[in-house]
Amino acid sequence: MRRDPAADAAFTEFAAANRARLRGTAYLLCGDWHRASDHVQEGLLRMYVAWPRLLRQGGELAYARKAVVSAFLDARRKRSSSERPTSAPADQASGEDIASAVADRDALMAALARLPERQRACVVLRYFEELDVRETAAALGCSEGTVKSQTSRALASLRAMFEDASRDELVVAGEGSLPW
Amino acid sequence: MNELKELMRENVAAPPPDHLDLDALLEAGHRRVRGRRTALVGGISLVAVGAVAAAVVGLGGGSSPKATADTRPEPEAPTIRLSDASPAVEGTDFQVLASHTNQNLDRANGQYFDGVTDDGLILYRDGPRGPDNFDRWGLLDPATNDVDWLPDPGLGGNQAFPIVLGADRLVLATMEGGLEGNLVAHVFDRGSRQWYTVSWPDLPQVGFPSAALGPDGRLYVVTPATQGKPPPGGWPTD
Repeated sequence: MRRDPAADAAFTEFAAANRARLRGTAYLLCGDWHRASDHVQEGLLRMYVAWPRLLRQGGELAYARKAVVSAFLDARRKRSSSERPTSAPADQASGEDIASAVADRDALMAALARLPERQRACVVLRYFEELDVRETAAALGCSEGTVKSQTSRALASLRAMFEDASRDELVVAGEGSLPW
Repeated sequence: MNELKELMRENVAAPPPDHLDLDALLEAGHRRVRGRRTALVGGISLVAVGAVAAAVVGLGGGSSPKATADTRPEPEAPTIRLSDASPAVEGTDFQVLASHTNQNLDRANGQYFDGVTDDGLILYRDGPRGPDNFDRWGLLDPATNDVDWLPDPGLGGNQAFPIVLGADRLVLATMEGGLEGNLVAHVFDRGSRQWYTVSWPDLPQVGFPSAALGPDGRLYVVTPATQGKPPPGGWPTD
């Protein structure tokens, strides 16, 4: 294979600019920063193979997001163990309010970890990546109806888990305008 | 009250350092692309060895460079060099790009992987199905499992064999009129997403499936020089 320095430079620039964002998405999916880095690396590697085509057609970020989600789902299929939410850094947990905030964040990670992978992916893509239903369906390779039903089930489960954990109610900003 | 988006943003607000090495990532990307291309080229060269025998037909390619007495001869074939090799991993004999299992071939006639393109997509065949018993062809991206369905190549129910899986074009071969019919190359231009066909009516009968693309852009096929025929009165029975 002949190397294309311009294409490689564009790929490196893209990876540097977007890896933090992709890593955040991967972390919310898997609950572990190191594994999140692995998923991002695998996603970017898959993306590199398709890079010449992406340069012609565009849609690089959408492809990268999709490749990272696919890497996560593929890794999950291969793993027999399930992820556990990580604790927040100890130096952040001081004082009652902060402890409560940390507990809320931990509660969310614990609740996300208990969702089926595709429901979790729907929630992360819809509310963290702020994709619409069509974009989420494209990222997951499923129908828009599936995204709606999976997201609805996921939100109901998350709310129930917050209630069971005696945390304050979990709400979604702008939920009244959601298409279900 | 907890707001979902806020909680998610807070959870990723203070990540530990990321040790991703972009140069190493780029190298690994090169190795992955090279591994796929090497596997594909190896497959083509094996076929070509057996097919160079008898006939050469043009497929829009150029002429091959000729070695002269004062130049070093170069092999007129796909060549794999040691520098193309990637480090072996103990216990890993191959890399799985994608997998698919046909659970019930009776209900529908299944889906099949028919090769890997130069740019890493899998030629995906769905069928034969429907009242006309036609195949549907697509390009599956193993990174996302998306299938880009191609326009109908108009194979008319003929069995097709992939010959070229390039980044710019795909070539499928069929025999029109059965195994003793005429060779037809169905070429898909990936840029314009159009199919067109190339055929050679004057070509002697072609053994099939035996077509392979040579390094000069020509299609190499086998045409049997002699063929056994029943003697007058039929084969002896004693």
